[in-house]
Amino acid sequence: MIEFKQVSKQFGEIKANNNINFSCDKGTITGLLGVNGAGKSTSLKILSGLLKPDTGDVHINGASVVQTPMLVQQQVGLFLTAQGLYSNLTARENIEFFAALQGLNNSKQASQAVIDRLHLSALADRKVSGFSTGERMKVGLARALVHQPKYLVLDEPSRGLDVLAIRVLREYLLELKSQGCCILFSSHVMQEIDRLCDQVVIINDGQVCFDGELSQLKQSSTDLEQAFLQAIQPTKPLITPPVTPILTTGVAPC
Amino acid sequence: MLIALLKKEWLELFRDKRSMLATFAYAFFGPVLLFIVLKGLIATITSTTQVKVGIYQQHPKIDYIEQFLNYKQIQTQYIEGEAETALGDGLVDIVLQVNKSSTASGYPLLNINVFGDSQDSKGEQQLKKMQQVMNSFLAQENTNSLLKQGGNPFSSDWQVNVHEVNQHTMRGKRLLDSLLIFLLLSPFIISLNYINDATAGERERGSLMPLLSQPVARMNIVVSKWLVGGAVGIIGTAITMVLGFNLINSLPLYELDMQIHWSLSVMLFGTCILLPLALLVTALQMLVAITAKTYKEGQSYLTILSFLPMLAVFMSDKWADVSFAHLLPLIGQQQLLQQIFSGQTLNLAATFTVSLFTIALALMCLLAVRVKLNQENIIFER
Repeated sequence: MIEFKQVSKQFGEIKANNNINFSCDKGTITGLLGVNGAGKSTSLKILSGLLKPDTGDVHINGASVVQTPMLVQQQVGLFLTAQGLYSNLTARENIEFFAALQGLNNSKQASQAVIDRLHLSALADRKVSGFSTGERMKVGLARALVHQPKYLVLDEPSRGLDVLAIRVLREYLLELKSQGCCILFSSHVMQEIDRLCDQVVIINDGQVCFDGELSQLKQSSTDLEQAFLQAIQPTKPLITPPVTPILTTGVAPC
Repeated sequence: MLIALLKKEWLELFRDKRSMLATFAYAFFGPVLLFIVLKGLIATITSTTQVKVGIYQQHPKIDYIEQFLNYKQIQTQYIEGEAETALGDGLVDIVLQVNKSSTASGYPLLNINVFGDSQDSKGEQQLKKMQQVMNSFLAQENTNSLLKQGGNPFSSDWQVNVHEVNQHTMRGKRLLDSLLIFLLLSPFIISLNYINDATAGERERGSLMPLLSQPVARMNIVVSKWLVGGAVGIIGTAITMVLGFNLINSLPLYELDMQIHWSLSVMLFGTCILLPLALLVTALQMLVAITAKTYKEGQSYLTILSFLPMLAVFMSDKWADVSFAHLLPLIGQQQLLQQIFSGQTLNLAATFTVSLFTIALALMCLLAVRVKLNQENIIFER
């Protein structure tokens, strides 16, 4: 189980996370939603152990990210960015390197397994330097999944992927879910959330404004996008209607 | 874990051909360039030099010298007064004076006193040329004397004394210092490219964040980069030293009043002296470059850092009187290298102490890098 407990993080005047509380269960896929700058990435970076929260903590399977970050990192597969692959290494070497960092003794076999599963064989022995954004995304994902983590954290994993790759990714995530893996991922693609997620957490201005099942969110509106917009701005419409000027005739009073 | 990190660093380095070329360019091309410069310098010094000689007409035998000089197409003129005055006025370049004396056994001796101003390189060349000319005069006189009298071939009634009007320039020492700058600079230049790429470059490419999100101790990451950088630095420096000194030693260094002791043991001692320095330089470069957000920014910082060995060598005279100077990294290594290359016995205690201090400082730098890798601005700012 992933548990965010009263997590707050401030950068100067900006409260990126303000008392964040939510949890994700094993065998579920949780979608983390929010507009740009809402605090999603900050939450995921805190979970990864790279960013220290000002207050609060994140627990994964009972282990504290603040106290035992390496223990947490062993259990989590992280995909925070498609960048950061080593250009002079092949895709296979990149994946094997991260398998070794995860302490896998059979890093070659583990790499081959994830290469096969994500249909990366054609790319595997080419240097990453010539890869497109989508190809880099695929290798980045393979890197996060190579140690078959029980917890998977993905920051916009489908960005830059083609339709076929998105389908493969979706199938793989559902397979991992069926195996009991706890998946937390952020996305702006409502269709993706709709197809994959069991639970949804919406963050706005650093605070959780919705935490519940996808079906609950969908009940509030006709479609998911509208429901999301209502959740982040329940009292204000997202686009202010244009003000129609009242035309008057006559002489203005002096 | 460390092996995986080391393997990655080596692969990254060796597969980047431009990076490899930049890394080892100094080691291979630097000594060749230095060889060409020194060869040119020697050629200039030993080239034909025009000399105007002033002579005192106070001894009858001076005519022999005058005839000899004229035969050698060297211009002469008679002068009076002090030799220093004549030289100072610029009337002549060299002053010759002949006077009588005797050996300890009472054998009469004629002294040829050669006065010259060696303050600049031209004056030095003129003085050296006149010394050579006078030596040939002596050789000729000896031959004549033996033919006439059948005397002892080892005895001579002539003697040349050279008088330098200015102070000794210590040119040989200065040149050795220049060569030491070249050698001390090599770990700074050779590991610069790799370290910059492995720290500032890693930040710029965004690969630092995924690396740090893995269950790896920060110190392992730091040490892997340090070891590869240090190995590159020491290999490159050893190549620079071996190639450079072999090339330079093939030149007629005596023309520059210089002698370099060069042997296998000197090479081994040199490498041992430079090994801790290469490790310190790598650690220091890591500490500096990790603060840079981009490769370009890191390159600027590291270039400025490369001026350190020049400062150490140019201020070596100032440091000579400081009691603890031999313990300081860079200055200590410079003094030790000076010892071995000038043929003195290596002070092993000093070598051990300065190496220990250097390694300790390198470890402190590594700890500082590890602290930096926990800072949010280093991990996320790009």
